[in-house]
Amino acid sequence: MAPILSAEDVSIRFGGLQALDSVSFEVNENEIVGLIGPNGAGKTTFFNCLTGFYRPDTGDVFIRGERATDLRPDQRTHLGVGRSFQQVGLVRSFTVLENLMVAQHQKIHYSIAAGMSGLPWTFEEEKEVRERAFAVLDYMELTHLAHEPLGGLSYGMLKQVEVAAVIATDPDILMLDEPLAGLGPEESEEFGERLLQMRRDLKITIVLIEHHVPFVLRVCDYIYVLNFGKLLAEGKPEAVRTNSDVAEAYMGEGAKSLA
Amino acid sequence: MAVQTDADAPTVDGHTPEERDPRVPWRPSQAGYVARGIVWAIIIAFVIAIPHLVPDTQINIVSRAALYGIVALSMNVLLGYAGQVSLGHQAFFGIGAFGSGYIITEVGMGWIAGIIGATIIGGLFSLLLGAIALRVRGFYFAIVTIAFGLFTQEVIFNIRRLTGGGAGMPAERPEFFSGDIVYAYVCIAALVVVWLFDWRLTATKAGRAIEALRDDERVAASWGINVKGFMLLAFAISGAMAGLAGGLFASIEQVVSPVTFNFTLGLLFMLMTVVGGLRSRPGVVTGGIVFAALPFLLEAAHGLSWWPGFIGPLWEPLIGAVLLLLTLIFFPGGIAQQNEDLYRWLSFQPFHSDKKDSVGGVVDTSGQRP
Amino acid sequence: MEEISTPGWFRPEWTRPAIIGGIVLVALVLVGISDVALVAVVVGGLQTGSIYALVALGLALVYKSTRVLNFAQGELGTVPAWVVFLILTGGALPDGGVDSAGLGEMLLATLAAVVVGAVLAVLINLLVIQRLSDVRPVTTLVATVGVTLAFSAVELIVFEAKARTFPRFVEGAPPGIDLGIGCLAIGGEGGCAAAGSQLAIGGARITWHMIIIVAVLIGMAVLLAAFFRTPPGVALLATSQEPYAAELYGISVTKMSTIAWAFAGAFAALGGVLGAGVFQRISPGLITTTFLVPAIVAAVLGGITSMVGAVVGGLLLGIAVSLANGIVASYGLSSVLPGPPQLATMAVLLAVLLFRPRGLFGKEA
Repeated sequence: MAPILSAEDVSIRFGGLQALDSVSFEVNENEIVGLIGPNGAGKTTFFNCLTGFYRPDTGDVFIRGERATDLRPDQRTHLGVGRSFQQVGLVRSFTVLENLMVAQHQKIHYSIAAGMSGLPWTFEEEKEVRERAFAVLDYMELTHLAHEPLGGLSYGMLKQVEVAAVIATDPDILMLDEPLAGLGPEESEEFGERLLQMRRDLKITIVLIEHHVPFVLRVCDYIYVLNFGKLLAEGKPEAVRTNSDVAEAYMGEGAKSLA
Repeated sequence: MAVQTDADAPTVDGHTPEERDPRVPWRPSQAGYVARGIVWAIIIAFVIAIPHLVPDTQINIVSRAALYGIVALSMNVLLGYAGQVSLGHQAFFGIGAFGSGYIITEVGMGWIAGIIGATIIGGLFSLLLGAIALRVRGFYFAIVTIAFGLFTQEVIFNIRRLTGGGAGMPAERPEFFSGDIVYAYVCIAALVVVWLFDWRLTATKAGRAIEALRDDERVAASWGINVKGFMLLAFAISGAMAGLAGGLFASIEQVVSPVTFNFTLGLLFMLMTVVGGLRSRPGVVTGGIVFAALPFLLEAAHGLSWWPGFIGPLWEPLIGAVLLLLTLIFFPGGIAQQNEDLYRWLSFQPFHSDKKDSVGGVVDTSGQRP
Repeated sequence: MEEISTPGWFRPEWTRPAIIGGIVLVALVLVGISDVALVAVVVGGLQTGSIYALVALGLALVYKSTRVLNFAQGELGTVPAWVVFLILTGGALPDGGVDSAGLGEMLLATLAAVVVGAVLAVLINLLVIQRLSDVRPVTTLVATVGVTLAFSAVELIVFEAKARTFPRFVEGAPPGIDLGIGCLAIGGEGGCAAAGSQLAIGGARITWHMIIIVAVLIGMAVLLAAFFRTPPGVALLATSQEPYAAELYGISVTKMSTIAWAFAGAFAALGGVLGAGVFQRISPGLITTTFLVPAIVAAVLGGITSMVGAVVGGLLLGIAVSLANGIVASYGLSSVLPGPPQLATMAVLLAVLLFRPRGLFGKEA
């Protein structure tokens, strides 16, 4: 079976900086894949190439084996790619519930014109949209926040609402950029459990960028390590943990293993 | 909030948020429904009565106020929902007016065709500006709209063949609407239709998408929203609304003259919308109506004995400018912010809200980052 | 920051060929026109262009130091022009206006006007701009639109919607001979002959007012260049580039913005007095409706933060506008194609923003 998401020799250059240098990458269905690397290694840049926010100079991105390099971000969302952002990616002037309703944009069947003209079935479907939003909130245990404006929520809360919004887009591939930022140790623990549970319940594939290496080693099935825009290593958590190149990149010369 | 609570309304309806299931939309109590129903009945009766209440010579002000209300909603789509500043909105208003005049008089296709044509032409021209807005952002785009307004005023509206030059372009009403009072009702009905349209816009996916991309284009795109498409849609809708208002405006005096659609009118449109309170339908429409009626109110007040005699109709722009500055410095939410609780109550929601949204900038363009 | 990008289909390497192609195209059109007296067009363009440049200079200075596009720059010209008017009439409001004034009287009145312009500009900055709850360029632009409306509204109340005559520093034209340069260049036989006993270049009559305008522009440009070499000038430049670092060195950002706004107000005042002189009349909101939008376009053309750019942009736009007028007139198109200045202004603005958003001299995108 073809990998659900893959990249082949992706390179991108910003001015004098080679941000990504021929990075290849494969994610199989229902896997949890981690992307780690020191600051400035190009992890988020790579995410942006996968999700369509950057177009690589050379190389290609494939979704379920189909070439997706030229597709816009919203078109990739249609193919089942959902992502979060390092700085919380939410619509700040909306409430939590409204955010989850916009996020269902592609799931809404009525036409734009029908919606604006107030045709009867659009009211019906709007009710369903609202119900689906609540279903996601229930699943994420955030229902009590439904009518809150974002202004009053803590950073950790916002991060969770963001994941809920991405889930509301009904993705097949959930891509999370530093989901643990702002979470305490216990909350991180809980979040790890939740990821594993989401994979089971929602039958989704998860790709995540995270600085917290022990977490990645624990949760992920497979790990890619980026360093200075290049793929430094890849493999199962145990292999990556004991890889001396990776240890050196993270902890300096002489280090033998991570964590 | 400084607004005093209506004695019974909130307490009768009152549930504290904690004991409510967030899934169940809030509903007023029976008494609450009745109270709101009565207030609505009074409002509707008042609106229906207005054309008969004003003196016959001033009846066109009612039509004009209703059309300014539509223009304010049109500005609100761009400035409020999409976060794009337009300082040249008189251009679309004028394009609608001349478009309808041309179709009625030169093509001879009748009034209804003129109004539909005005709406379409307004939308198309606005789409053109939208295409520029996709490339040129922020205050650079605001400059483009100013230049565009001047361009239409001095170039397009002076092309004799299209606009009849200084003499103006006739735009006669059909027999059925020939009475000024009837025409005032036509304009009010148009405002109601546009209002309902705008309500459904914001309550369905298109409006949500437009507002989402105003806040953050990247997030909107990641949720599957075609950023360019919905930005253009916002322009098309806004231009079509302004074109419709212009088309109807043409038939108030039944002749359109180029000098009407000047630069200052565009600034007035921006001003009345910001003072009304962006993103609030009742707010911006109130703004539009107030500024349409202001010169005439000042004139009327001039005759009163207690009125300071030196304050005449010429003071309208000054009052507007001062209100704009006060809004920008002290009350970013404009008129809507003052009447927030009342508007909420009238829309069958509780009078009090425990959810105070953080008020952002007046003109929100935060979504447009590199 | 505001983002502007060139269209996706436009490649950077095309810029030069596109510019050269454009120039060639314009040249071809001009060669085909026998009636457009090119030199006359340029000379005429320099007059209005110099006023665009004066107003644009203030716009660029204020934008550079406070990131505000000051829409009120036009009214900072109109109000001082009214001050001159009132000083000359001794506070009266004659319906006809002031036909002429002595040079000394005019100079004193202008000095007062410049002070008024500078003070008003500083007040706008301190009372409005610095108090806004939100300082994004779009909001500050809307705020200065509000200031503009307030000023012109007061003028409307005080002076009513009528035009009155306004004097120049020196009326008339210097006597002289036809230098004859332009008559050799392109056609325009009538131009040379018509110039008669008046100083003319290429068929374009030169008035004292034109000479004064260009001289004032040069004077102000030199003054500003000199100012940027003094310690406060250097501090101002430093603040505009690194506000936080400048503050660490003990430079007051507010003080620097006050200086920038004061200069801008003074330039606008000169532009207003000279601009009203061009029309020889004054009416409420005059400079806003005539010179402001071209000046904004000139500043954008010059790169919005560049002083040199503002001057060059102003002069180029002046010539472009004058050229558009000349072409439309000589082709007899004026009934078909009204408003050539607005057409030219819009075209220049779009061309700059779509193809070279940094402007001619802009450093930042």
